[in-house]
Amino acid sequence: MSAVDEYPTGKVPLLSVRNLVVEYGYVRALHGLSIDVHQGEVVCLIGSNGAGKSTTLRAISGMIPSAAGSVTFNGDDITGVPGHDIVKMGLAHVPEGRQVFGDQSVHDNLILGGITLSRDEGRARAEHELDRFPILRQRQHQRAGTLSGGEQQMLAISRGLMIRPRLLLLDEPSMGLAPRLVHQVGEIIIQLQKQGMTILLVEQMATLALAVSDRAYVIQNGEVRLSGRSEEIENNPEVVSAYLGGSSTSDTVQQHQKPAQSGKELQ
Amino acid sequence: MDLASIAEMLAQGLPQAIVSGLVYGSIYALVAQGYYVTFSTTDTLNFAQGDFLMIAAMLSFTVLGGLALSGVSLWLALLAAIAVVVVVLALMGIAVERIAIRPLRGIFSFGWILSTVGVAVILRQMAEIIWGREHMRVPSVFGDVPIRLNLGTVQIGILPQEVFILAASLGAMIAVLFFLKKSRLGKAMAAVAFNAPAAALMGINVRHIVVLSYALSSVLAGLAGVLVAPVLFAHAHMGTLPGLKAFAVGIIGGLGNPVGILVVGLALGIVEFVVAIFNASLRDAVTFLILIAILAWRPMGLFDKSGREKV
Repeated sequence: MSAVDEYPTGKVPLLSVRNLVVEYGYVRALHGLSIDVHQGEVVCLIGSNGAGKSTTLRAISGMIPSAAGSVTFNGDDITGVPGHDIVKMGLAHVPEGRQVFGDQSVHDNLILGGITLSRDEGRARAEHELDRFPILRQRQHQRAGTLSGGEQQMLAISRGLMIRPRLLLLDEPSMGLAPRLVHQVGEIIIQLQKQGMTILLVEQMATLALAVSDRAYVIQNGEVRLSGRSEEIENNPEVVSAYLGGSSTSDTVQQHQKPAQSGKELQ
Repeated sequence: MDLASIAEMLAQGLPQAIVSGLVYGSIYALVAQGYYVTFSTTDTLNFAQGDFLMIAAMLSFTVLGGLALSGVSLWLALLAAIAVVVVVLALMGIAVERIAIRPLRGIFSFGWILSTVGVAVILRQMAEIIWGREHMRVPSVFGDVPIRLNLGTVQIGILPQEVFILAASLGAMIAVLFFLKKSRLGKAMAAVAFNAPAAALMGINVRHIVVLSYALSSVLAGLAGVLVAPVLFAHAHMGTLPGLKAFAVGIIGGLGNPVGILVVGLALGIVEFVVAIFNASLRDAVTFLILIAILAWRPMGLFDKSGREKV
């Protein structure tokens, strides 16, 4: 197969997903999807509901098994490695819907995020996270379930950062948030990248995703439909009409659908 | 029986019923905390829990009795019995999860109910084969001389072992709750109970937590067995009713509510002994009648808030 992504300098990518196939029972959700994420990049996956974006993240972090293909992270083949071991290799996944532990305190949620660290290290990093997000410090003894949606999202990201991951997977961080908070989530992502974090972002809200990312993959029906630099994707007529409030739905892209493993026409 | 004589019997018997009820109620609560621990992490529980209690009582007969006969001090023998019971019961808990729960834990499967009831029957018959059908006396380190209290016209008697039962089971429950709320491992267990996939994303090995919860649950039943052996006589069928009553305590107190379990456990013990003031042989029947009535009134238990998010 030919899908090795040459961007940006030919260096080995931090994360490399090759021909990933995921099946839910008889339904095939991913049909041989390939993506790369390089050190220091923010890469986003955009696409309509059910395209397979979240499934891709879940398969990478070991939440769900893959039927075929491979995932290489930091030089290690992590295909089939249990999720709880992948975390220890420095890959944090902030799941869709935040999934904070609602019956435990904000501080305990952070401690759980760092449960693979030593006790002292976990405490120290929780302090660091509470400095990063002062609103969480104010709420640290509150049960996480009592936080607002935006605060829960911050907690979920903060909890993922506890292990100081080499790669952060962010699944729909803007979901269900008011516009002001969506903007704030964008700011957080930009800040994290400035601090050197590598991020793979899945976002329904394509404008946000393209604004904060370096590169983008457009996912459709479990395959990479298009890929390229975010500003190029942003100006691509197909994408504009399908995802950026152009003429209408993803059907527009579907009409031009090409066989699997394409998606290189922008490069 | 007129009202005056009922009042008279109650006045005479109530203090003793409360004291004895607290003792035996604390055992129901202790066994039921084991149901709570596994139910919160796996939505399953071990219906052989009462028979785990029985095995522990049998083991303490063998270890305590054997060591005491060979001249070891009773205290040392008790510690040895506790050590043996903790190890054996933890292994039994791990085994029951592996053999009777894990293979049958489909989303809509109730097979684990049948399989753990099956384990109960197997354990009972095995115990008859190994230890026979007799009721065996297990010595108490505290002797058999009851402590008597005179409160005016009312007399209360309590065995030193019964004081030990109440203190040790309350102590064990407080220790377990403290462990679950305060330790990192306890927080990890709570995280698995709340949202297992998210817990796995934190790096928590969910399967290990499930195995740990079964081991812990079984050790609690084991501790209950060591505690009651000196006052109940050890025999192969001693675990059936306590296991069932502890289950009732779990249902009414709430399988996700350890404090509710403690309160209902103690209350059930007291109810039993109050009923026994009037008719000792109807004790269990009346007790279960009350349990059924409570369930008809509040099917989700007494303290259900229905507010818990389960993802």
